[in-house]
Amino acid sequence: MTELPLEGLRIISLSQVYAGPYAGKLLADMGAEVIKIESAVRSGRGGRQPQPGAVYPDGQPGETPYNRSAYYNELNRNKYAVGLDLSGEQGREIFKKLVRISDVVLENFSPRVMANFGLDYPTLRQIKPEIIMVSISAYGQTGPYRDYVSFGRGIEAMSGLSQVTGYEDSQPLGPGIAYADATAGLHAAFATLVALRHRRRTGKGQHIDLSLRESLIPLLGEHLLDYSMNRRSPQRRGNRDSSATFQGCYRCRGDDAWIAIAICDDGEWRAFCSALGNPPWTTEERFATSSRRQQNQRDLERNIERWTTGHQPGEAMCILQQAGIRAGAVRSADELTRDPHLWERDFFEMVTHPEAGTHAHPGISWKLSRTPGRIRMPAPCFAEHNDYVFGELLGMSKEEMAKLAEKGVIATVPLR
Amino acid sequence: MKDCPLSGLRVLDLGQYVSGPYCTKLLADFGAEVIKIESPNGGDISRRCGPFPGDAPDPEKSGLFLHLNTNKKSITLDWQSEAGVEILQKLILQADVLVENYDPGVLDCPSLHELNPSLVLTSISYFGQDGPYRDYKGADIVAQALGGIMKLTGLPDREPLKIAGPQAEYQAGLNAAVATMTALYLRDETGLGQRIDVSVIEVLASILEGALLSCSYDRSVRKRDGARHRILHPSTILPCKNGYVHIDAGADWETFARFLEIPDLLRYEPEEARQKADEVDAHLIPWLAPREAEEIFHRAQEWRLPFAMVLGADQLPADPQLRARGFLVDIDHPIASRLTYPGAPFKMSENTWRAWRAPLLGEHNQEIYCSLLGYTTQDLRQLKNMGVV
Repeated sequence: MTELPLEGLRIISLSQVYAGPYAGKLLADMGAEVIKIESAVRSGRGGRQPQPGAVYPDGQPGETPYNRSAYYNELNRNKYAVGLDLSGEQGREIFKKLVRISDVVLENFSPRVMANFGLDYPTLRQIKPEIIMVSISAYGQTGPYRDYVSFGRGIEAMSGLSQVTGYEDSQPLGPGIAYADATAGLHAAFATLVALRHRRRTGKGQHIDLSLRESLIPLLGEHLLDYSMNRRSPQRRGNRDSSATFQGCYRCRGDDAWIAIAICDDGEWRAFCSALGNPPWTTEERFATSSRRQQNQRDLERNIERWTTGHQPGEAMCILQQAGIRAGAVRSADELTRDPHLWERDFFEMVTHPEAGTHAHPGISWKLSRTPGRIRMPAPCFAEHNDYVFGELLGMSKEEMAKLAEKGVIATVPLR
Repeated sequence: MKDCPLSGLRVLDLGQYVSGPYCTKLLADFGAEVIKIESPNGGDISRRCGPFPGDAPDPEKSGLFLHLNTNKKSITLDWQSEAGVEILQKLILQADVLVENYDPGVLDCPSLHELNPSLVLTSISYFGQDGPYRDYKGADIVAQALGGIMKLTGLPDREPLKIAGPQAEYQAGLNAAVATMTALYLRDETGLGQRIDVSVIEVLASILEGALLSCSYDRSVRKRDGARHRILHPSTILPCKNGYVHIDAGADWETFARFLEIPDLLRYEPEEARQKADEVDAHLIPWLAPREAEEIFHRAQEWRLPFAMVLGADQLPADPQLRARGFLVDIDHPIASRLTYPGAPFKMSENTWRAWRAPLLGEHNQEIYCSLLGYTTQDLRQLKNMGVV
């Protein structure tokens, strides 16, 4: 029994950058055939010129930087890619043929784009009534902000997340990763699976309208409830949470080296003190109870740092965890790629990309006992699957394809 | 008439706090029958977490619990007692999905799975069901540290920062819901269930925006830099007259400079703006200072610039876009009264999403024990006296 759960499903992905591609990644990892439609002008992977800030193998963009970007290659493994220009009639006709043989269309353009292409849901539904179309946008397909533009970072601001993510005495900072995009991508994958279940039961397709903002706000639900109950807005609290837990991030030995520690109750506090060797300050009256520890947080943190700065993060984590304390080294990406726990759990997989070499990739996000799945193929090179998709799936002849390529309808390399 | 897409699914929720409950909330809100199994001794720990009205703790008024447990049923059961295990087994025979987030090894999952091979059994833990850290103790901040998020969040000259709220837990719950639906899709075809192992740190390490592969490609290590984007500038947060705005040049530096009417900005190549971020900000700050967030946001959008306002939760209920789309919902509750909740994370053209309140502790004991499992009212009373229910 090695079949993957979503084997046999075909998904056309018009999505770019992060949210849509992340949804596609999750579904592709689970066995769906995800075909990315990219154009010669805009592909989301950059053109022939190296992109500022992009990361290439050994820092070398090479002749084909669009096949060598780490950002793209991490997000698009297990997918197929074709080059197709949707701005003209012929490209759209080919797209419609693909819709006819697919189950899901995934897109994250701003809402007017698909309509401008003449490829909105009412149109696609006429071509294939049971198609499931998943539209991801910043603010949703309706409402006064429908045509407003935003990236994930703007959405983190508009959702209330940036406001509370920061130090007590700093301005709002927001997350350091594309959090709204990842969250939207996950909800979009969930939505796709829910709609597939509905289709299986009723034979009906549908349109999913997913707004980045509305998929992020549920992850901040308790703040909204707090406002509803108490008419107050949450404040920035740095690394503390509103619960009674004493927690923070403390400097360790080494360059930019840190450990996060959480102490939930008096039992954990006593275990913590003894793990530190019961230095005299641990018996001071002002640290004796949970509420006193909260009151004297700063002094306590100074004392904790006296101990943590004597240890490297991994070492401090081991000592504390052995005593049953919730402690975790603050890992950089580099340290994560060497983490023994992640390797032992086969979180990383070695994948060879024809133009980027062999590297450790973060693998499947979760483990399914019967159908674990794996990275079956590296991220596609630009237009790598033109022959498979246009030839094998749509039955075009070599000559037809060559003619279409000449007209620029089918792309084989990015234009610029 | 539209129906709920997950109606007909029965889910046992052995989840506590945030991760398990957010997974089952997604299933319940879209129509699954979720039976929450709570300890007779106080129930889900989130009932003790707040926020509470007037900060007065009450297990039926916790904002966190009320939000995460909409549309669920609650029974009390000490499933670790001998009689309790037997009842849990009976429930498992009638369930499609079981979601749990206990420490690994607490629940004897393999034996439960043998009882019902078509069960999808979703386990969430901080570090996963095996590996050297399996028995480590976790917390949200610990997971955000070990999952790689904190090192990338916060100011460069200060301690790494967590994303506010129990975000590691929420992410795990969300991933678990996707994994569960995937396994159900296969089960509906083959009749075979499976065990899902979701590790909180692994789902976080999976959303570092290319950072892990980048590291393998050229050993480059990305640094945290406050509100600033790692490549583009400005895509950052700056103060304005009445708060803060997210200011963003998007893909068009010239439009950005023309919109602000600051010709000096055109002296910078868009690529060098990031290196000279402090200098660029010095031009922007005086422009923003006399202007209000709303005005800046709407005017920039007229120019198709991706600006945004930094809003607090207090500003969401009046937000015109959320109102126009009917996103927020008011839900009545007999003890916590009528409150405003987040609505559906996405809209489905063919299906509906439900907004029904979270259950009281043990509210559905009679229904589940007597109607579903066939115990008599007398049996139920006895189980209560034994402390099992």
